Amino acid sequence: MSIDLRQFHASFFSESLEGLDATEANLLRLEGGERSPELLNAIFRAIHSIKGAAGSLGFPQIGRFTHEFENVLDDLRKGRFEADPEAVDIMLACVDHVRYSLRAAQQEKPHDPGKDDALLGRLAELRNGHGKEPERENATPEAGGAGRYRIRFRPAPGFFASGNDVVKLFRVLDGMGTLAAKADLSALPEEGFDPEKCYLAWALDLETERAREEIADVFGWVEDDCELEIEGGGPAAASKDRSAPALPPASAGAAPAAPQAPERRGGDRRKADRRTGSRRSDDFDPLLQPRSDLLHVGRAKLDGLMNAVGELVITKTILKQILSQLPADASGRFDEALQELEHRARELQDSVMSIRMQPMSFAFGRFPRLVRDLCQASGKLVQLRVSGEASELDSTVIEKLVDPLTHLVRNALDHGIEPPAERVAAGKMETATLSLHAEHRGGNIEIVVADDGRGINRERVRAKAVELGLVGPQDPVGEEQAHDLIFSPGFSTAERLNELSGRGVGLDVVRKNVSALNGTIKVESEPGRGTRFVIRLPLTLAIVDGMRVAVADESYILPLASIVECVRPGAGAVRSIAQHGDVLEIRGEYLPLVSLGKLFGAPAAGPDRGIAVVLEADGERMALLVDALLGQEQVVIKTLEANYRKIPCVAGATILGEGRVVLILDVGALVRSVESPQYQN
Amino acid sequence: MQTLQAAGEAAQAGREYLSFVLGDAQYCIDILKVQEIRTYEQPTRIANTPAFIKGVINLRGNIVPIVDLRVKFGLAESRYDSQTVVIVLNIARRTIGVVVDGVSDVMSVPASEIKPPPELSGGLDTKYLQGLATVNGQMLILIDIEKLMTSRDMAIVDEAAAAE
Repeated sequence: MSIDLRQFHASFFSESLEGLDATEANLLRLEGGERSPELLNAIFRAIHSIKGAAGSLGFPQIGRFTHEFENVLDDLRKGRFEADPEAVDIMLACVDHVRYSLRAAQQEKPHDPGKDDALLGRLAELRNGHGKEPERENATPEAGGAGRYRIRFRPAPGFFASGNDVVKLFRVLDGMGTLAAKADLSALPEEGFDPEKCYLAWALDLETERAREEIADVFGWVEDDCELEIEGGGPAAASKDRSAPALPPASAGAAPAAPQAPERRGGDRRKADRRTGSRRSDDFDPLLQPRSDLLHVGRAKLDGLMNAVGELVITKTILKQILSQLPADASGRFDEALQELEHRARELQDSVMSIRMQPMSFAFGRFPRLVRDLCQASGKLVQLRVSGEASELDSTVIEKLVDPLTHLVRNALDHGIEPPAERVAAGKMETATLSLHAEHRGGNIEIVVADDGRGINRERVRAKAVELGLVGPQDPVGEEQAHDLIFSPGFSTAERLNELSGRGVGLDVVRKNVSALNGTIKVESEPGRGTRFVIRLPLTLAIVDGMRVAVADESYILPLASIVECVRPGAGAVRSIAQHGDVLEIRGEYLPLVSLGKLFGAPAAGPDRGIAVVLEADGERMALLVDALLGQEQVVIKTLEANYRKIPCVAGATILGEGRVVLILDVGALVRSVESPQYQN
Repeated sequence: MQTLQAAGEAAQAGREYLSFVLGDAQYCIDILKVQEIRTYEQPTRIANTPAFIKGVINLRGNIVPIVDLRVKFGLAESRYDSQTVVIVLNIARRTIGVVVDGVSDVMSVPASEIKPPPELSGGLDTKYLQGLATVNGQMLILIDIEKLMTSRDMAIVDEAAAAE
């Protein structure tokens, strides 16, 4: 009987791809000059696990390639060659190739062995061509076959006071191989036993393939609080030179005879751990949570759960309606139970929402690599600053943000940031700064992409706008208008299209993408000082606070966030302007007035009897005439595109308590349709 | 080649079709595309869409568009009464409801019985027809429902999505 290996494929792909992302980030740190053994080991291990899994899960080509890659990385961590930029380049290319191969395998496409060979050739060059003297031959002892270690571990009396737990340590050791532990009770006092003190010591016999280093690492956090001796080990480990200072001494304990060395060692170790602490990887500190605490769940399952919760909320509303029709004496106890249900449903909804939330680092994580590559291609010097990447956002939103953000970053590097010489001539720092920032503000998240480049050149924008016929040749173009014009279709002030951002997509697509997420984008710029793009988005796409409005016998939902005010137009407040439709006067300001009934072809009340809802999107305002306001409601957004298609001016649909479908209006599109008359009926 | 051959064999064996009435003609569609059959309920209208798109309904939490084939085929009158039913189809990973005058039967049509369609005038383009067949003395019009529903004419699927 054979086991169907395919059941493991999904998690293999997702874990391997995650591992590659981490490796990419680590390689970039390597390029930045970091050389800690932890870093080198992490890079090695990520590829090592992919190799192991690929081989056993039936992807021999990926296994073979990663095996070669791993050998090179092993040489790297042993210091057999230096990670110069060229070497990092090749290794990044290998990471890309593994990622590509994984994706191909995921989609059951054939493996391309040609690329394998080309990269393997370059890897071989790396190993041979860079054949320098090993720099730190002591870096990591080889795991040369099973070794037997004898560990003597005597915690200091105050061991527990610092929150340490011997059981956890033993569990980690046990996970490395076969562990036998013998406790030494001789120090237990006859009298005056203090339960907060540690009187025990242990002799541990560990049979493992791991290196001595890794065993010493397990005690890394507690070595100041114990006496520790590690003896024995595999033949390879035993033959290694352990005299160099970078290595933890085999006996890393706080033996009173050598107080200085362990102390320094302990300090270094913690510093190193703190530095790597922000990373998700659990490679270095075995006391951190094991990976099995994270579950990989398919998006479809989560969406299903979300839908089910949405249904529950709707069912609850139906119950409430039925209850309101019951005689009062019968409804008393029901009412209580229903309130409880309401409470629980809200709790459930909140927790499901929180599962869907992911930190912005999922979107920001790709930019260090992109910026590096773009800099290399263009010869510009850019420092990337990322902040607020822990801010959480609905994963669907994050996914859809990657493209617009990528475009903005490319745009900044291509158009905004000047070449070093030009910057120096302008009296600026040679290295430009590009910052990505995310921050929660109320129910929204604000994402800023800012550079300190040349800013938006208003004259060039004007010239281009005249060329495109967006403004007349004599029209003045104000700052705000110039900033708005760059979002027009077909707009690019780049003199020539190039590899970096000239792919025929403009900022209009960015704005469209952002509006599709119910968000807005604004730009601020100062000539010579830089440009800031600010994107504001709701935290989730799944739920919206809405106002239900009526037109004839139909009803629609308007997102509450885009409603400025509601007014009943007084006599004379509505005026018709030839060719421009109606305008509504509010406190001396004239807003375009559109009847929702007319727009959507429903018989609606005239302007004198309806209610005008003033809406705002992308900094523009308009008034929408409806027959009546029906009240506020929190609704679960459902897409029309799953089974149908995108409909102009409609953001989605929702299902009301009684099961009826109601459309949610897309205010951004409504405002734009007023601006560009060709969309008007 | 293998799939072609398999399809050929299946066709020889005869496939199962769902037949329904539109106006005074009997039409058939591949039963494997049919998810369920429901009574007609008033959908929520969507503005600025072709007349044959009746709107969308809530099908157990999913928003499903409703197409009235009678309007699409230009049949004189579209009544909505107790006989009117909606055939819910599963096509191109989408769920779409189709309004018809009534569902008749599930029948097996041998491939040998299917004849190429003549050029018809009227609402239905022959490129959406699989052919004509006569079963038990009755003429059936076989519609390639997937081709029809994903076609540009119907404008149900976004063009970008259709190109996938």
